[in-house]
Amino acid sequence: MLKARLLTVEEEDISPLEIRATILGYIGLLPFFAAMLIVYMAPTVFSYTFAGHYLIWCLNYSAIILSFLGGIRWGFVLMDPHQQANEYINLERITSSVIPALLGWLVVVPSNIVASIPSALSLRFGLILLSFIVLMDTDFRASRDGGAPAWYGRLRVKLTLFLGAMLILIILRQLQWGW
Amino acid sequence: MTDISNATVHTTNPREHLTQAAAALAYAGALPLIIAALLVWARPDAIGQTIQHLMIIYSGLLLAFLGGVRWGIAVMSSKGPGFINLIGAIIPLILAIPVFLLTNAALQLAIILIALPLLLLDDLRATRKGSGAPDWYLGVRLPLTIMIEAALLFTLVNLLLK
Repeated sequence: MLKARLLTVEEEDISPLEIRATILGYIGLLPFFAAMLIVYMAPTVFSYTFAGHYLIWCLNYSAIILSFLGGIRWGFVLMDPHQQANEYINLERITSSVIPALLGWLVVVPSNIVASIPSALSLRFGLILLSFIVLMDTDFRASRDGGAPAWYGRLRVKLTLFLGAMLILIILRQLQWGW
Repeated sequence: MTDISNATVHTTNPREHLTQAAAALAYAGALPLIIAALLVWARPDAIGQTIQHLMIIYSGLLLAFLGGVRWGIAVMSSKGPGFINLIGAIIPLILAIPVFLLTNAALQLAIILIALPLLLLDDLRATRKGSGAPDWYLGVRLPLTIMIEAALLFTLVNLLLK
């Protein structure tokens, strides 16, 4: 009886909002999927030059997405109805919400401009991977603690696992090429 | 040490605490752009150009960040967002993409210069309708947008005068 009830609750839990956000989330992953295809189809289908250009574009895209995800966190903190109770968590959350944007900025700083930042693509993609994993962790915890909708944490974990797998494959190919 | 931090907590209400922190962070976010704009004028050589480039990257990401804020607000609003709101909040993100694809600095600056006030107007409209951010946040957004616009315009003028 109880089990059956729990099941229905779980089913109802998937709101139209979650479905919409999930669709948008997967669309957001497409440029990374394309990057993965391109690096593994180069040099036969695509030239190295094209793959290189696309990867740099993808790096910029990652930085934009990291910024966007940081902005979402900022929006959540502003709107959190429970925020009266836990002021320090709020402060920590709003401060930490700008960190992904700053990491993204660091990743796209051109190496010919600031010499101390290495140009290696694999290193830059590695930093992107790390940023996304850290962000997934903080998003998941915010979601669990009521600072974000429950489905948001679930969605972020799913998307980051896909993204992480793709980024690892892209980085492996870059290492193989010595990029 | 603990006594002092406790005392500050009790004198201000938590909400105010958050408001102040968010405002301080927001102004801190505009500061690099203002400093950069001054440096672009002070250093007409390669360094100025470097700074201008970093500035464009920074403000492009700022655009994406503001889009994210809208998305977060839309999702958390009591009425819940429509699909339009979810898509609408992605527009700044999409606008940021050409900023990174273009190589013409004047055009890049122009996109951001146009996008930021439009975003502010739309945020103000959303708040008036009760579906947007809390009032105090927009109180920060307005001076912030003016400061950022001034910094970017300053840089664009410098670029066009060359």
